[in-house]
Amino acid sequence: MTDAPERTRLGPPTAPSFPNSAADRERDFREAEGYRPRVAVAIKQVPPSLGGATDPLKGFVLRTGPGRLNPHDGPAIEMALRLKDRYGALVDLFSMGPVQAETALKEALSLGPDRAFHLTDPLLAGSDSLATARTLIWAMDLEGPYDIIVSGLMTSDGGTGQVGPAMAALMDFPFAGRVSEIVSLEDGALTVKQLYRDELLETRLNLPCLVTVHPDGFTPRLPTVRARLRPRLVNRLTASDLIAPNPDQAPAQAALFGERGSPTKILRTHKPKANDKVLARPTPPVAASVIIEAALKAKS
Amino acid sequence: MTDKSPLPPDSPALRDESRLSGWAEGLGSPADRRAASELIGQSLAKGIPMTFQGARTGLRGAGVPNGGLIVGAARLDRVEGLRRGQWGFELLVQPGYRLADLRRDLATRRPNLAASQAEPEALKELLAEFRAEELFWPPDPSETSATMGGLASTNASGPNRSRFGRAADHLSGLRVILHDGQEYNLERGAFKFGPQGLPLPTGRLLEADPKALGLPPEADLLDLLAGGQGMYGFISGLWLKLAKAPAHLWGLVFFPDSEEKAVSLIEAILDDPPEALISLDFLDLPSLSVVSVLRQSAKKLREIPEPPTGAASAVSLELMADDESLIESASERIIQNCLDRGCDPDQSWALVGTEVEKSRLFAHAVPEGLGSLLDSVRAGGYPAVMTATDFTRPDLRFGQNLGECRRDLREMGLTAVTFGHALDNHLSVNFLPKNAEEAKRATELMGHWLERAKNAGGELFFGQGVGKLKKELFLAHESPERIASLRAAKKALDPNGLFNPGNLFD
Ligand SMILES: Cc1cc2nc3c(=O)[nH]c(=O)nc-3n(C[C@H](O)[C@H](O)[C@H](O)COP(=O)(O)OP(=O)(O)OC[C@H]3O[C@@H](n4cnc5c(N)ncnc54)[C@H](O)[C@@H]3O)c2cc1C
Repeated sequence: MTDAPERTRLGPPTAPSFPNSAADRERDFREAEGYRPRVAVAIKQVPPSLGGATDPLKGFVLRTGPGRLNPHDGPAIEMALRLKDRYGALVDLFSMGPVQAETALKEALSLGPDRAFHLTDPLLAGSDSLATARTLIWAMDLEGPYDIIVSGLMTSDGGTGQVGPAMAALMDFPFAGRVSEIVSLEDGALTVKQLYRDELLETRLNLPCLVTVHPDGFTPRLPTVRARLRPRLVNRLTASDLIAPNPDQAPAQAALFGERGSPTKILRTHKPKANDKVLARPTPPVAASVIIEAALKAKS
Repeated sequence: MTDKSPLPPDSPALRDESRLSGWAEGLGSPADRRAASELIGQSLAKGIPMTFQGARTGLRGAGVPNGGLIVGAARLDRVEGLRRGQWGFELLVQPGYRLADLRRDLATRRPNLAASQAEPEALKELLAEFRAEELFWPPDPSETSATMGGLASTNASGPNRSRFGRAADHLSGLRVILHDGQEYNLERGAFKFGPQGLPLPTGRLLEADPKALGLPPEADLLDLLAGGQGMYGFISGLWLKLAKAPAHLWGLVFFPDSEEKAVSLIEAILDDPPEALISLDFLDLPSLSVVSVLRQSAKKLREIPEPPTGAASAVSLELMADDESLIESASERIIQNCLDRGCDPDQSWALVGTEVEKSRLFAHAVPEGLGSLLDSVRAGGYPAVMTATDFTRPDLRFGQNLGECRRDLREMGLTAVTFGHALDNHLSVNFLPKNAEEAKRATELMGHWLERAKNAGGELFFGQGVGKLKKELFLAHESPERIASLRAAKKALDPNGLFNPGNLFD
């Protein structure tokens, strides 16, 4: 990734790089005999919303009862499990959320991932998408390194779709969104198909990489009865676990947790007016310039 | 409100999910109680026959018009009241309120009570108590777009029937417009069968005993009206008895690689049914194929995976209890049953809580997909209609019943899609006749089976009733005593024959 083009970094400070971070540990581990690719999946428990039912007075989505796994995360877990089925990958789940979010991890564990990590700490409360992305990659750094990070397309409660791409940007990983098919995992690269409307784009990503998953390609499997009955252990991580490797950086890092580390201020939310049209179907470089020109024109 | 011209033949109001179609002079869709009462009152006064309709998801053509006026209840879809009665919380709903509306309102615990007449302060207090409880309406017919009026009129039930009963068992009152044009509020138990028969609110007496009508000895007028297929009056309101939902619900689906193994697994479970078991369903291989075909057009269905490769049938069951360890131990036992019978217990799905919707969706896809298949037969030129069995065989074990059906189908050279509720030993054998000759043979075979079921003391029209679709089979095979009693009920409750003409009788 050293010759990757210079990128604009995501706003405020990114993850401090830890001298003893997993990413810096031996890099040639993938060449080892019998190496199993390692996959991390970021998932979230969301409040159930019922068929779009909204409070008639206040207009908000009605939420009651126990939480459930974010519907977009089922396909993400499924993609990771297919990497496990096909390439023997080791699959770890990561979720940040309140204590009760452990249920979603337990449910997801019954599908076949190897381990689950639950980041839960009052210090982490109020995280926006940037702070969430940062915290998740610290936790992954602690348990990794990982070859592939998978996340759902978005969450049904936040709906920003930013956490996956933000993690990729923070890690400087190659990124592919809306992945609907695994083509191959070989020679240090993951090749996937991305679904954009009705077009499929085949993309090869050098490892380590990050993908977000399109639900159409990965119908989640259902747990078997025996898997459901098996005891499922969720490992709990707190803010202090994340700080532990670098006590000297603790204050700087703590300032990046939760609400304190969240620069987002929501002023209002609105649905943008759909204003899209197919401009052309030319070759990729021409397409890029057409789109950029159109975007610049729209901006001016 | 009423379209005076005859409805065009392609109007959806002329048919239901049975694929039967009828004709009508007009259609009225009253939006409130007064409008409904006015419309029905005037039709009665002018002697115009009426057919009542809910969502037209009925499978026996009971809501298909036979001339006259269609009275559609779909716009009468409000919640009118909430009370705490002797059975706990009860909700008063209009007949067009759908099962899906009820499920949503119970899940959000926010029924829209704007139409309630109750005093605001008292209602507020009651609502607060209501919201503190997890409630459910136990009958589980799988078509959630069905209306409460339709569900009551067909006395609907689902896989959990043997545990929780039918729609009528979960009604504490009905509001009905009877043949005198009056609207009556009927509370449970207010009109009971006595030695002379059943006194009616109109002042008449129905001289029949409940057994002959197919009702339990303690039945009252509500039980007769529910299941009446709109033949006795218009249901304008229903008090639904809500029950406290057990804390845990699991849905398990096993996919044995042969029908024999599925039957053997079902019989093992039936031999020693776990306390938490509320339903036990069987789906044969053609049923699985029907689901596969439907998958291509039904997006929702693609949210659940295909059954494991090699699956030759499915055994789907639900377990419900407050104590989850009861469910876990039942599941362990069923896994052992699987292992003992050579079924791979890992060819299975286990769903918990709201996820159980997925196994329900899967099972529901069979009747849904059968409808689509019928449509494709019809598109090919032959006007096929739903042709399915509904009988029970108390004298046979599940496997014997299925085996007998299989043998007869083979002998008659017929194919069918078969599924059923094993706790009731109720099989739904669905024929897909592609021409008149096949339809004739299917009807003939159903006749044989009805005779056998009758001789064995079984129910003949157990699942979906008779409607118009099974009228001939009903008149030919039902016991004369039952037919005579139902005729007497029709005469007493609808002396001029203006309600849903053509259901059960000509
Ligand atoms: C895919 C599928 C699955 C199904 N699964 C089940 C199941 O599991 N269990 C089950 O029991 N049924 C099932 N059904 C059948 C159907 O959903 C039920 O019969 C349901 O009760 C019909 O409700 P509806 O609102 O559609 O009534 P309609 O079909 O419109 O009418 C049914 C009968 O009720 C009468 N009626 C309707 N409203 C009133 C009223 N207000 N006053 C008086 N009479 C009235 C009609 O005249 C008619 O006789 C299924 C149907 C489909 C298509």
